[in-house]
Amino acid sequence: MSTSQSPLAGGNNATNGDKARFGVVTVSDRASAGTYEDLSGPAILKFFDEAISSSWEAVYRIIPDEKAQIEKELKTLCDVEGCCLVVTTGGTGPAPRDVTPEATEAVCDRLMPGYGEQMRAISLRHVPTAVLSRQTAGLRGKSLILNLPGKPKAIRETIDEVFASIPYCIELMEGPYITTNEHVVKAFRPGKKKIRASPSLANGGPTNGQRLCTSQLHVRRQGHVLTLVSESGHRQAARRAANALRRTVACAEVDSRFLQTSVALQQEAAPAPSDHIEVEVNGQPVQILKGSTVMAACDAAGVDIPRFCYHHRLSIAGNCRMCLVEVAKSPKPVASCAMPAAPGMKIKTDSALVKKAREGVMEFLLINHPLDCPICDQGGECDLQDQSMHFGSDRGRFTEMKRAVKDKNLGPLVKTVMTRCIHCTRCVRFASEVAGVQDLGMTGRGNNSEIGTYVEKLMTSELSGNVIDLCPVGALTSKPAAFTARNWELRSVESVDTSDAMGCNIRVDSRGNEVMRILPRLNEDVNEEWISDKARFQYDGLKRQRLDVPLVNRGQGLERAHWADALTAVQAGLKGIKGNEMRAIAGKLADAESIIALKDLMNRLGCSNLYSDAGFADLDADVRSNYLMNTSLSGISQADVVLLVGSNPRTEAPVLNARLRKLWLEGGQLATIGPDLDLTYPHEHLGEGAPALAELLKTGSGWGKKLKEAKNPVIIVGPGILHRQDRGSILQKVHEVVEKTGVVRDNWNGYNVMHDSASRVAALDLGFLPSARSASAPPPKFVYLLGSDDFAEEDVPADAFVVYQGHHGDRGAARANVVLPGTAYTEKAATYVNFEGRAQRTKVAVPPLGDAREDWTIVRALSEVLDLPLPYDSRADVRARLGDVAPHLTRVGEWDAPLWLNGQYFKAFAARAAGDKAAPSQDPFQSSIENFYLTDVISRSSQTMAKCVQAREVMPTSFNTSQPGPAPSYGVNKGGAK
Amino acid sequence: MLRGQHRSLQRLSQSLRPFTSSSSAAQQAQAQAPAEPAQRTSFGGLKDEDRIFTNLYGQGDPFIKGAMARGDWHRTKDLVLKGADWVIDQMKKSNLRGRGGAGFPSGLKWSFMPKASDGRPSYVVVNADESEPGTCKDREIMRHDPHKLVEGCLIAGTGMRARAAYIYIRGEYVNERIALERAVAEAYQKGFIGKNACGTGMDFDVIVHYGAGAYICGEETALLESLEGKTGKPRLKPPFPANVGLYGCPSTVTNVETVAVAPTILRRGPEWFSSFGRKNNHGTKLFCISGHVNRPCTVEEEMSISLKELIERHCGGVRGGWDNLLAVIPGGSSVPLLPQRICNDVLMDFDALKEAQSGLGTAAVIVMDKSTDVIDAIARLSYFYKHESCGQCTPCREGAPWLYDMMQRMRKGDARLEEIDMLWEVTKQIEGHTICALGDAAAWPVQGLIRHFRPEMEDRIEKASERIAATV
Repeated sequence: MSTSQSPLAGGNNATNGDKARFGVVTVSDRASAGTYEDLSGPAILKFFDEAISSSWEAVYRIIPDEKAQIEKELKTLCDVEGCCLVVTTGGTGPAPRDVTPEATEAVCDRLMPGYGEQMRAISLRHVPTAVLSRQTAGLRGKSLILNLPGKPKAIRETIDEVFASIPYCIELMEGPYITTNEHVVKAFRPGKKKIRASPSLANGGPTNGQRLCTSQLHVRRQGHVLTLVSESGHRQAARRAANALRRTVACAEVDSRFLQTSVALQQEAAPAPSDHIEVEVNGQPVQILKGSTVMAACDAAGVDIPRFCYHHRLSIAGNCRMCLVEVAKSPKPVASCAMPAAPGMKIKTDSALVKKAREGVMEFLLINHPLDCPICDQGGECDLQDQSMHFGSDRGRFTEMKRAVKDKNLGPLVKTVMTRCIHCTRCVRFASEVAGVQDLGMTGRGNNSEIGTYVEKLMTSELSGNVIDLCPVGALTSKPAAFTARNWELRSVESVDTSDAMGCNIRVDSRGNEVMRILPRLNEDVNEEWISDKARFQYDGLKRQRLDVPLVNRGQGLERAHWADALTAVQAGLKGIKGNEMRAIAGKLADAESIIALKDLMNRLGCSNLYSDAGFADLDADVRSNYLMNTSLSGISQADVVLLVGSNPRTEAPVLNARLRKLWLEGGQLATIGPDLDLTYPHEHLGEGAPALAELLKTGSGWGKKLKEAKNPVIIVGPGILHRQDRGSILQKVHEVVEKTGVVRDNWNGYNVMHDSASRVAALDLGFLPSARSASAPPPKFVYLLGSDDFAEEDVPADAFVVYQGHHGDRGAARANVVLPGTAYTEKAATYVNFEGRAQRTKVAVPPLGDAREDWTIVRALSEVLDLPLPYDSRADVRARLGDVAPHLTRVGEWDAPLWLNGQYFKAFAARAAGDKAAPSQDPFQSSIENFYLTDVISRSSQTMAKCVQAREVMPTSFNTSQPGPAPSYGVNKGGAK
Repeated sequence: MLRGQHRSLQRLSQSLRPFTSSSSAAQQAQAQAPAEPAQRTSFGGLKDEDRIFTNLYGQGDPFIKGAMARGDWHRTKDLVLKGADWVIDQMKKSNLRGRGGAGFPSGLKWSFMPKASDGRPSYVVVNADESEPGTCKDREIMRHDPHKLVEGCLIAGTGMRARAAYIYIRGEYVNERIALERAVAEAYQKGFIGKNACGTGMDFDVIVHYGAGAYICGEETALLESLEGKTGKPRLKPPFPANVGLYGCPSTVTNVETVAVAPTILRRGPEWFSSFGRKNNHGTKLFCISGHVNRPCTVEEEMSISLKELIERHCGGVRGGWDNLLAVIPGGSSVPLLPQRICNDVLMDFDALKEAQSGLGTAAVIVMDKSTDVIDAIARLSYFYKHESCGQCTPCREGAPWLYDMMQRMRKGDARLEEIDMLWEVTKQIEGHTICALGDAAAWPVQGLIRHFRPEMEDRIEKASERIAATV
């Protein structure tokens, strides 16, 4: 067992990176019994000594060919000794005692069979019996286990070649950075970017390869460390995500991609050093972008800075003073959120001065805070709670009277407990900067400061609920969710909103089978971190008016029935009806899976009369760019001139409206054609209808010129246009403008169509459209309503047999002969496509209600009853079918720029429209949404939404209407924040 | 009257000096002058001919006629035409330190303004929001010698390459505002300011804007906010006003007195000005003495005059004699007080008072004799700061009322002895942790009290507990 001549450590200590630890295991009965001296282990160690230039040490073991013992040793070396590489030698042959590969496979989480193949290939060049070797390799946690041959010569032959890929493999597993002596073996690293500039590693910082700025949150689960990368300001979001993860261990698909952040990406992109400066945080040098704040520097160094008022999407207030840090040469601590970092700045966050400053601020924040955590809805997810635990003192010294502040009534959504307010002004800044309503402000002075509306009034924003998320304490909480749940009782599921066509990313929090609240989820490409009030608060509609059993009308109104009876009733209703006499109408909330299933079924029945209840059946869907937001939501942020045609984004997609407002804040110019609305940002009103559109064709002046000369012009056609009878001629006019002003140019497609219902784009993508023959079809005798409640009366004749499949008892169910209970978006895993063409999926947050079934399965079951079985039996099968029809529907979360076809398609379109000779009518353009709060069955069933409508009527909505009374309806009151 | 005329003639001849090319001997004599004060050990007794504010008490005509007779607007054109660099250079040589309280070298501060415009105009903003309790110097300038200020605006504007001066005057100063507005109107009428100011070809406007009476609006960035029509809440720095100030343009906020002395400094030469006072504390200064003195007054005196001399010479001494003195707040309510022991020989200048752990501040001397309940006096100041805190940032918003509450109890002795230490710690938790200096201002008076009158505080607490023990 002597290893005297072989080193157990080596390499140059001065090199970068942590010391690498290797495990060497000789598996041999005889060597372990001392029958002969092990030569293989020392051969490996000798190789390490020759090949590796960075600092390393090795743990060397000799054990018998016992599977259990090998497993135990491998586990110890990986888990306890922390070896990043464990090599075994021996025991890989076909003899009965040779069990090393089996033991390796047993302990590894993932196998890397490539190494075995490579080694056999190498050995085969020397001996034909190499094929008898069963070597393998695999990963256990952050360790690579490799079986080498038994003979020292063979070991050297193979490892010389194999080792070239190992340093990179270890690096990818976030292990130490290993450098090699190139004359022995050259470590290959494919096209490496300079992540290794990471100073925290170079200077003996966090071990185990914590990457720069990733150290904030680690969620340990079953031995795997899932690292959530967190950007400075996303801290709260990341923390919440981590909480959610902890809560939903069962939730297998954890998509942490959205937490990848710009800072981290910037670090990896290794940008030119010229736009970087180096500062020192707690003695560690760190590279940050020029113009970053001290806080950003600390975040980049992985140092957590407490904060209340700072939020990366809002302006810097610097008023909470919680983020004070020490900067060399500054006698006073500085507020890191507002202080620009200067080159060479020495920042300290762990000094006594900083500790004391934080403790002091914390004490001040708490002296007038009511400390009513047990009855506070924020309890458990409160920044003040968390940070006082981390940074505060363990006792208070305040014995005077506490301040009490009168609560404000901001309407039916946001509950206020103003005594808890810590005056961070995040809500004020959100309202005035993002939402664009000048409703909130701070009145009074000093200790008498109060956040409020001055005169009691409604917060008139469609985004008002976001202040609840922003509020770091329990001053602003959800009124509908008040006192209903504690956050640790909730199970979170990541899902997608369907209240509008934007597909905002949400998190559905449920307890038992009840949705308790809905929160936004970070997605920079879609909703950033905002959602509309409807998306957030309509969930109580999921508990009312629900259809939970199949119903059949046998002449005495709808009666409860069994599934079999209901499906048979549909079969009976279909009897004798020709395909051409049938019609299917998809509703606003239909998911892609049920749409394709219904389409397949109807086609099998010989029916191609497929409609959407949103109308515009004749919209040409051959080319996606014809009906999508071609610029994409994130692309719109780069626009400089925006024209809205017949759209009120404030009601059709409030979160998009916030993006447009941001555009305006950054200097963009906006104009509308359509109703003159208060969009929360100034814009030019070019006219009410088609004549204003014709004006734009003059590119020599006015907005025609502006569009032509803009760098990134954008035209957004609202859903209001698509709903019009004369949409063809209006779209043709728009296309003319697009052509003439060059809104579509190289690398920029500024032509956008917006939709107002979640199902619409998927229906168009899947060709859920009437065929050419449908125009001449007779009035239908059988109508299948797929969650359609907004159908036109003439589409469903009085004598038709109507099947309604959906989740709410609304207009459709009332008209139906058979009702098939489906599931709402929180109860199914379904695909929705937003108006930029991005497919996203909801997940099952709560189980279906009663006898309700996931929608596509209902259609599938019906097809069975009709003896026309659809060829898919599982969700995966349906999705495969979706992928056949529209491949992008399976690329969830991704956005592909729709094909523009060089505008050829538009030319044809224009020619066809010109052939129609139908002049656009002179009617003014209108938004398609009459009432933002009541758009679909869920929001119509929601009491909260009804309260919002009522509040708009009875509460003052602006300072001008100080008397309660009928105020202009939601968001269209003119002359507000202009 | 005769004497006054004589004086103004004398001043005229003096002020002509820099422009007469033949007076090289005089210039040499002046050049040697600065060496002299270095040896001086006693200061004060400013001679009448060395006074800058010759109508401080309103005996003469405050307006254009009287002002011109006193030498204001005399050949201002020549001063302006000498250009920005000369003005800054002269100001630097004069060693004038800002008279608003912080004592930052004025020439240096003015020189921070951009030399070339990037398209944005530059502004002089004159801080006439004199709200520091005890301070009443700027009001005397504005109501009795407003042309000094208006002319100073033009001079400062020249030095800063500014397009206009905004004078932000405290809302409560009604008469002062009327006088100042009249002076501005007169200056416009005479062509001294406005288009082609003083015939120099330079356009320069002076706008008087009045505040609504908030102490915090005397803080320079809060003042800018207020001037812009917003709530007077201090801004975060950086960016400093010299980069991003009023309406986003380069601005320098400067005190009335600093601006008003500038023309005279240029006329009589920086050497003359720096011949007064100790090193680094040169010039003359308006002192406002209030409280328990026989004749409270505002007086222009040499810097570095001893506190005792200031009080004895100009105010008829402390009520009941010097030995009856308890304490003095030497620089307005926000600086720590000094007990008699220190008052005996402390000099009234920036450095000496800083050494004594106080400050010159606005040179508003508040004298308290032994009849004063010093704890109550400081408690009243705490009330002031609690009331005037803007509420923007945490330590001041929460800390100032807490200080007040504790001081209320200290006043009655309704506290535990260890709470004095806690009070001290709380002031330290406020000091230096806020956006602006109001937090410091709230903390310092209490710190001064604990530093010098701790035995009194302890005594009161003990007495109170004895009283309670006796009644139980």
